[in-house]
Amino acid sequence: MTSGQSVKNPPCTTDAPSQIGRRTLLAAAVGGFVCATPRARLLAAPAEKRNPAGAPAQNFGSLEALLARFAKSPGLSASFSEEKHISLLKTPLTNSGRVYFKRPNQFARHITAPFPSSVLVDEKQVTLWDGAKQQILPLPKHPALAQLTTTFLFLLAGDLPALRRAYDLAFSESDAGWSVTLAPKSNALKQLLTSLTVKGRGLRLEHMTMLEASGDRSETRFSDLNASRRFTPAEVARYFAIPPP
Amino acid sequence: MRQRLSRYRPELGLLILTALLAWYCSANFRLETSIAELLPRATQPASLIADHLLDSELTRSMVLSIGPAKGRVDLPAAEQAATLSRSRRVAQSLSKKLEKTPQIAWVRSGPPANSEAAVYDLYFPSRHALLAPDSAALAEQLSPAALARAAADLKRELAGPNAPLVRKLATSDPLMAFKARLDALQDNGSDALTLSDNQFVSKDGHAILFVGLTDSALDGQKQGALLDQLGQLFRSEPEAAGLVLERSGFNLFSADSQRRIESDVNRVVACSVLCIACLFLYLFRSLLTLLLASTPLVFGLLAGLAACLTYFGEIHSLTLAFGVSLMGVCIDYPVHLLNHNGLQRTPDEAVFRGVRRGLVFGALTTVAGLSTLGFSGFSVMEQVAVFAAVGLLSSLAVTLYFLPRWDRSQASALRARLSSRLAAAAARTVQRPAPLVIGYTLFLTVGALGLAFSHWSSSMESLMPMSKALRAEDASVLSRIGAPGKGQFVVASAPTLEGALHANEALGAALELAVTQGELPSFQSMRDFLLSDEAQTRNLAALAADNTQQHIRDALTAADFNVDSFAPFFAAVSSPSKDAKLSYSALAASPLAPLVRRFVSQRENEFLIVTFLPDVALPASLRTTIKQLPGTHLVERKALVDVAYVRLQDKTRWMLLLAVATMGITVWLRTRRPGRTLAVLAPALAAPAFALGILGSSGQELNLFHVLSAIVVGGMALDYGIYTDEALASRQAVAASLAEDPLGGALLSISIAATTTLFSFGPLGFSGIPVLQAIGQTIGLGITTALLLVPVSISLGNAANQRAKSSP
Repeated sequence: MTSGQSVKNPPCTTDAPSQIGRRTLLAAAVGGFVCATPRARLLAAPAEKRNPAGAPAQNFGSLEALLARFAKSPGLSASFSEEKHISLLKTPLTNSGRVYFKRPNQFARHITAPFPSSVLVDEKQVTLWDGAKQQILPLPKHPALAQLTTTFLFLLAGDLPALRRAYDLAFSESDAGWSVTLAPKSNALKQLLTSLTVKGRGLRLEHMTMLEASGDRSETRFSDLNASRRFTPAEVARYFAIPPP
Repeated sequence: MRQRLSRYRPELGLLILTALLAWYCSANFRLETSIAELLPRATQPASLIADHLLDSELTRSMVLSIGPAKGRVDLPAAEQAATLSRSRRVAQSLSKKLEKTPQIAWVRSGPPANSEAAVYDLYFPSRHALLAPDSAALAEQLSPAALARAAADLKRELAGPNAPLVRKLATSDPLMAFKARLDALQDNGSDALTLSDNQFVSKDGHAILFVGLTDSALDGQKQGALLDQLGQLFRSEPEAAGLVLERSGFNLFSADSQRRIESDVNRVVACSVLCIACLFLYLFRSLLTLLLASTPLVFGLLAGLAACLTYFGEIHSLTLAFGVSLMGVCIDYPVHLLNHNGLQRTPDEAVFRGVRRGLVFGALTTVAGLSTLGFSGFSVMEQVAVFAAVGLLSSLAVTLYFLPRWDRSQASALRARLSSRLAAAAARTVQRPAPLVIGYTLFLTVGALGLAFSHWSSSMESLMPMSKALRAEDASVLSRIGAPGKGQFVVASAPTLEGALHANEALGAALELAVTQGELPSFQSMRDFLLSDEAQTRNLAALAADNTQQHIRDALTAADFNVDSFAPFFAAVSSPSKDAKLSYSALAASPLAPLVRRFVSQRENEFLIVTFLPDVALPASLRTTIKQLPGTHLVERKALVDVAYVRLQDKTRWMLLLAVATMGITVWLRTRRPGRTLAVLAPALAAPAFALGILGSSGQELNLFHVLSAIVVGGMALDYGIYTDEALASRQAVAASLAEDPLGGALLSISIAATTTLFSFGPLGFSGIPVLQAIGQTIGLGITTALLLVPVSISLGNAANQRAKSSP
């Protein structure tokens, strides 16, 4: 059985960014979306723990129900493998690394291979590290960026109205699992992103597809996931920092 | 009434002339403090440039830091955040108030508005024109190996956190020239500051403001007033309690110096005036006499100042300080004349003529001696020569013409008694010349030995050491904002901006090499913001070349890229657009103008571009390289000032000898007798040497003002010798007809003059400021020595006269 629902949203009020603003927006978009993925994936972790065989423990029936479960996750850690299909390149690029999430609002995504880099997100700023230089993007200065990154906080909090302000949302569910597709509403986000699709089974986040406006596509698979991860202060200082451990 | 007015016509004339001079000096007063004036004329371009830059945008600015006294790290996290918010609010409120202050030209509390958009608008279209700063770097960047690295870097960036930006721009910019420009601009700034609510904030939680000054930072008076106002504005902030305001800027030191000097001088002047008034009241029984004695002094000071302002258009602070010291000589003239006038109940014309001769000769000799400074080749010394000549002669003229008209003082029994006793003492001393000769030799020997072992200062800062507390405050703020230092920079100069940019690029290449070789940690250059038109044209031409484009295609293909995706790039470099090159006018009109303002300056018909170096010792090889680059000058402010200072100090020491020699020749030309010449010169030869020798051997570091004061001592001591000589001559001619011995009168004049000088300058010796201390101690010790050596002069003069009398 497949059930689907499309969600009508209020009009987006985000202003289009300036050209240079796009730089920060684009940069942050990477951080934001990638970080969003582990968060969503976090939510699947408890189910994975309870049901190692991978069978869905339950059908959620609605996006609201799914988000309500996601919101209960205390933290997450996982390994990921990303494949980027870029039209500029004849063959896809691959990245692998670790992601961490700590409630209520701390994300860290550390690429370990082939080249180290990191993205940190909190409610105030996005920090990018390309292996050599660090760049901090304050969110209050970049409203569009703030909207994008807080999307994932809203996702984890189960704040559907907040998500609807920025995206058209589509939820579907079948025996194979569930799927949530986020389509940006603002022109600013549309210039970057066509859609973001997150798939999982039960509370286990398995796969994320990001379709960029340029036509490029990123496929991310998650493994070694702990969706009920609690961090000690030492771990917080270690994992949510640059340079990464 | 008319008759009465007519009688006082000369006085009215003097009054009007004095008032006119005062008005002229006040209207045209321009105090010069530049170091260039301390160097030989027009031989030091680096000093001229440094001098210009020291009163430019570079120094006309301040950095203000507002934050907790203890520092953020000592506070709990919640308190840190609250304190930071409060510091930010206070800074923003203060910023608004400062913007309304006339003495403030601009205030920056955060990056310029729309700076990010401006960066894109300026630098994305011109990314290829700004690809490489010089032809060597361009050749390297377009080599097959470098292009292969660039393609690999592009691939890596596409996998990293900046991928969306890079991906968006890659088809138009596969060499990532725009990203390189952004990185260069970011490196040029400091990473010590972050932004909090669009306000610059340091890592230890202080809100930072950058402030531009309307007036010169070297104007101590105006800057002192501004700093007071700044302090009041900060304290009036409702949320300022518990926060501290710290400041950095050149103006802190100029204001502090001015305050300290003013405070000391005011104290000394009050003390001196009181002592001199008491002395005059005691000896002349009249305060009017003090007023009369001051008139030539004031007139001489104004005349000297007016002459300098007219001839040079300005007066240097050193000249002014020296000029004020010189007034110690001027006051001797009226003292000598008034004393002699009042000594005799029936003033003898012959004695008066003798006194007048002595005054004229003394003044002319001093002027001749000091005029030698005019040939030193140093601008400031030329000013001193002009000031001395005009000031002393004007003072003498007023003394000789007006004082006899005004003096109504009665013969004083006290002065007559003192005069007689001094004459008797002199007579006794003359009878035993041996102890005098031994004593004199001792003075000379001690002076010479002391001078031989003296240590001379080698730093201009020794004249006016900066307050340690201010230095600490300044350093603390500079470290907080990650400033590279402010004492060392290289200037590229040319008659055109294009030429200066070109020179700056050559300099940048040399400095880049030094960084690569580990000789220099970093530097901040204008070339990150703008290249010369020639360099931009060269970059565009290189990219338009077919073989370059083929190399780029090959590199992209080898790195697994679809070359066809980069069609926009190849189209752009094959036929560059109109805005493919960046001009200075576009940059200056953009929101980035405040960031580039500190790099560019214009001096007369010359453009200057400054490159900032950290305060580190530069290796000799790098210095040589910079020196050999056309149009570039390494400016090390402290070293430059110190070299200038030591040169001037050495030169002045020689000038002291030359001045004494000139005085000696002048005396010889008048007396034509070696014995009389030696008698006149005796105090002037030994007093300055003894004063400097004693001070030097006491462990004190001698400085320029010790030498200048020694010249003044020489002038006054010579006057003592001349007055003695004239008195001896008068005594020989008219002694029989006089109730009082002219020598006694002269000795009393000399004693009063010396006491007046001691009262005037002696207290300066107790000042905490080395400049004032040097003047006070040298003049105090020197004049005391000169006074003690007057008997030697009498003895030698007497012997010479005896010899002349006995010779056929």
